[in-house]
Amino acid sequence: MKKYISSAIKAIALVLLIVVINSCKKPAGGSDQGETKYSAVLCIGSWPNTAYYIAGIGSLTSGTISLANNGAEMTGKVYAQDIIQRDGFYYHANASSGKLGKYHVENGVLVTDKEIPFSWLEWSSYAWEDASTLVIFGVGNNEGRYAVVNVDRMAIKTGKLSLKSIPTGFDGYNIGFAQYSANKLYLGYGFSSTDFTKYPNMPVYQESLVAIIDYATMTVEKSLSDTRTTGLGGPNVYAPSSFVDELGDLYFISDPVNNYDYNSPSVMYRIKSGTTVIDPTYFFNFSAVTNNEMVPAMWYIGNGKAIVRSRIAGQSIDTDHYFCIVDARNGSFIKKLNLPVDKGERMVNAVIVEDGKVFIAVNSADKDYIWQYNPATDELTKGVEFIGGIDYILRIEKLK
Amino acid sequence: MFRFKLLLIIIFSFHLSIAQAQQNSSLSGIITDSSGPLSGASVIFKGTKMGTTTNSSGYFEFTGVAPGTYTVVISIMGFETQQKQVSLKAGEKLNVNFSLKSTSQQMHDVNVTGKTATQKIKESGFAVNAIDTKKLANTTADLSQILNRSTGVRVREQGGLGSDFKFSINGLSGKQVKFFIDGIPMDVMGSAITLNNIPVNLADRLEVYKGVVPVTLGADAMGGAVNVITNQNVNNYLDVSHSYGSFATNRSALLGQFVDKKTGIVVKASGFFNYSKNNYLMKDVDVVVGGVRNGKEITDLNGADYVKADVRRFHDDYRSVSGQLEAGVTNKSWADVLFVGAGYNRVDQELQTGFEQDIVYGMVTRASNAKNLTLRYKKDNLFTKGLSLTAFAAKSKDTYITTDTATRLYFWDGSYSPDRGTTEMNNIKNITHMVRPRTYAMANASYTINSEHSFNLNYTLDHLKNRNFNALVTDHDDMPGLLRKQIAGFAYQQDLLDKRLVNTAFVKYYHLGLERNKYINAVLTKLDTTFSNLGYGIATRYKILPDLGIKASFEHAYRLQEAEEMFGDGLNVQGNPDLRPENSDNVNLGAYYGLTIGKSRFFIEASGFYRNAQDFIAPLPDQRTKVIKNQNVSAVRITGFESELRYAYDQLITVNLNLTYQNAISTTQYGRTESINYESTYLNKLPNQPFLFGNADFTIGKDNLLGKNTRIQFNWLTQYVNWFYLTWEGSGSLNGKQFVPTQFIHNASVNYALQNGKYNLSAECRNLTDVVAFDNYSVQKPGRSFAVKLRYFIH
Repeated sequence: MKKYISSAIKAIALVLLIVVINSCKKPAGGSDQGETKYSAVLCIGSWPNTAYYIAGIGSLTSGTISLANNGAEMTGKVYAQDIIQRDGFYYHANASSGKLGKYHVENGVLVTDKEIPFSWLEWSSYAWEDASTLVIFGVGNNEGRYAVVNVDRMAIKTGKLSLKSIPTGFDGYNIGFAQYSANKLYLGYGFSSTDFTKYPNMPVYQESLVAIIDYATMTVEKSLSDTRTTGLGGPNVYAPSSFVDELGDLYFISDPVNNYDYNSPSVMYRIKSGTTVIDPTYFFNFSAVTNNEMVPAMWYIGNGKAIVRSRIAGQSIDTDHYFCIVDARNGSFIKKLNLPVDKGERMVNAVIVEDGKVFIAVNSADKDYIWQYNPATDELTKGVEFIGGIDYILRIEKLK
Repeated sequence: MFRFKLLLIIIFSFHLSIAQAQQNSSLSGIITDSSGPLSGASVIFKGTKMGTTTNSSGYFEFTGVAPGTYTVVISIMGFETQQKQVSLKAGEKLNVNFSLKSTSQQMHDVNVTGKTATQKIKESGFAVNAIDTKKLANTTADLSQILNRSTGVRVREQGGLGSDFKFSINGLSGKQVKFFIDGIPMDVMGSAITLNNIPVNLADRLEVYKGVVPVTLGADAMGGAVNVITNQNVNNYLDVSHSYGSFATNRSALLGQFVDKKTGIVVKASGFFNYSKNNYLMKDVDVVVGGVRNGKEITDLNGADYVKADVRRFHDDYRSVSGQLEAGVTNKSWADVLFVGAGYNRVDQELQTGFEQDIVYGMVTRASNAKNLTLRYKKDNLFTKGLSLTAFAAKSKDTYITTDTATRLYFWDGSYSPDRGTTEMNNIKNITHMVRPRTYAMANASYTINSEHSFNLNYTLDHLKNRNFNALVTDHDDMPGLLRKQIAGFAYQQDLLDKRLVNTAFVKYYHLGLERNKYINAVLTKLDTTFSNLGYGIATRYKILPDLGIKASFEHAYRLQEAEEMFGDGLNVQGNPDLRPENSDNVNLGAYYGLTIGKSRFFIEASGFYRNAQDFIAPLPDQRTKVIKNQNVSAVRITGFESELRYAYDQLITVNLNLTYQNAISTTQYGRTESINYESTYLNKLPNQPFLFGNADFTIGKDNLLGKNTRIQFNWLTQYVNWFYLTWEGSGSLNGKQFVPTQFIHNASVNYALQNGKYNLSAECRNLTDVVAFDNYSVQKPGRSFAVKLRYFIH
């Protein structure tokens, strides 16, 4: 018997030893994926173990991207998908810790360039005045607020926006699209309620507003209004819903369901260059021509045309999406792209436009590709594939 | 192998209780110690194969003994072994009683199953840690710190005294683990009664059931349960202690009982008070320089910058107080025990950080208070011999208030910016009240048919209302959530082969009723639902030798939904009527062996465990609305191994080493996006989970070294947690993979007891080497700290 026991003790000791030796393998250094021209923000794992990564993309048109021993961990630094990227630098405002940071990826590591204390507003949207000047819009203490950031120095200037006051029955602002054009900033907004007791039938204030802000003084010069739709774009820190074309005309599109408005259509508006009015001759009802689909995001692809990520009809914003080409200038629907159904997240920065070609990330039920669409030839081809089981493709970014 | 086959035959054929032919003499008796009968004591006839253990009344009996002279050896861990020669004549029925002396008045060895009760529990079929806390009564530890030294348990704390903690047993944690005091859910007494503020003096022993939980603890404890056993002795005692330590930490405990022997009236009081500033040093954290300042207020943040510095925590005061009074009678013909009780407890707490230390609070506070009324009844041999009834009922009201009204951004040096867009917790201004009136009732009937077969029937009813409201907006909740939880458990236990084989098979029936009124399409609608689930399990122990046993247990267990999870809380949590309960299949296999050579005692215990858990309920926050919705999101499979080695030499030295390895992997196949491909994390090791940890505990002590009836004792404790990844092991560039580094925390203490433990003085140092310690997301825990404790104990 003793023999057995002694062998048992030995066996246990051996197991423990193996365990100790195995577990003491420290994380070792890995290979450097090198600098890439593009990147993707990816999410894996189920809550509470969701993790975000920035993976470099060497080519949009071929190859594969996997997170196996690849990608910069975002946990602990930027645990979010609301990121502004320009010239390879990522910017993120963390509302919980009150930090606004500038980061970049180096040798597979997300490096902090600088973080500054910032709690003036919870950001929703932004516009670049120039390559060094970022204007951020958001809400703080139920006021419309802005911050102008010199991203080279990470120096900041803050102020309040005199938006239309919040009507009775509502307690907050919804900040939508933001666009800079010719010394002016255009900011879409509406009103919201935090009373979720009646959810999903939330109160809806049937008015969409656009503030035209003089960049030099940051004062609201003019307020435009329309009552045919609500929800003038989601926060563009997730994905854009407006653009300025070669003619200097500003286009923006609404997503009323995102504002719990289940009645209004998704509508595109225009403010023509040199004017400060919503073009009264222009009204493109996207929902009317697409079986009541809504548009959470829109990207300009040139020649007056745009690609929109459209969502199937219904009260949910977590549902299937498609990609459609629209003729913004003429206010007409061109086609739905023959892509797999996008099962991805509700707000995805899914499009890169380069050299007249459109690259579209699609989170499909089957395989996840970045597709290439050539508007000139109307050709659609598969590009780089995300492999290994990515849960969400949250953003694709052109870095340089 | 033969033994194993035999075991199988015995388990499955189920009929072995062959009575021995009776002809010869018999020997019986009762074994006691100074406080009463000793159960589980081993009684053997030296040089023969005859042996037995005492039952709960300390009674033992041998029948069919051949006449002759024998040496009877009585032994039990923690007591001096006694030998006695007895001569049995043919047909004689001899009765001999024994009284044993304790060997360990104040040995400091967590987990050493010194006393009878802990030994008995350890030798059940359940996978259980039984910890005798009496031996730790002179330390300043609270219960969670003691449990954190035992195998398979990880307590991950957010900070200092009173901070939030996550308790895990073999990898399952949170609401999957339930806590009890004397078999009653701890939270019935109030939210101030938590493991991390109950002083060690208030407990007699601790039991940690891993994965498989006896029906007597009526709860949906899917991952396991902790049961705190208080002193149940019917004698007079008084235990008063106070400790003072670093960070202005004061902790007092009072425990007393008065028994009027004539009338049988017993009055019992217990209480504690804890206070700490928790102002320990935070190393290398971000503080702000620059900006325009007016005292602590930074009126303009423009131009302000972060620099790294070591600063003290400044908003982390913690105060908790609790008092519980019980009075009743014992040893009446109609009741062995009948007590009524009342209690009050209260916590006032400042919160210093959010879930990571980058989120600094300077004004957020939390307070809770609770009142309770209790009734406790126990009667053995009710109506008929062998039938015992235990019943408990409680009414309590718990109020929990979180105040988050400051729109300030605080920094680690205590300065703040007043211009924050939201409150500190990133919300609208709120004083959130959570008021929970509760009625709880429990009844347990056990029936022992004979020494081999017994039954146990347990029923609990838990009726809980949950009112949530923001006191800045309203003073009540129109639509409180209601939870009605009923759990019925039935167990059948066999004690076969002279109690060498113990089998316990059980079923648990969970019935859950949930209710909440809600506006649906602007119409106030009552939402209600009921669920039933059936859990079941078995626990087996076979003693190969008196001190060598093998154990196996299994349970299909549940963690039920709560009303807020199903229907929302009316504030920030949205309802999800499709929510299912969490469930898990839990298996434990283990063995123990004890060996005594001269004055040396060895005890080794090892076990393997397996947990296959599905449908974990997790609150998923919506990024933009900040509204939380609970969903069944993930599944986990945990396989692990734990082992403990204990050594004691007389009363001089005890050594206790343990190590736990657990491999928790995600078995979530698909993420929330619809996909035909497995998510990349499928079968990957879970991130941010310690997977290898252990403790080494060494005590040396000597009696009468510094005078008669004194004992001086020195203890060293090292706690080890191996490094682990903060994120998924298989993903991300190896260059930047973040991990929580390996930690070794050393603690030392000296105790000095006078007059046989009447006066006790101790001094302790925790985190002796002042290393940066952390459990969660690198939130730093206290560095080196000192404490002294004085304790007066008469009994």
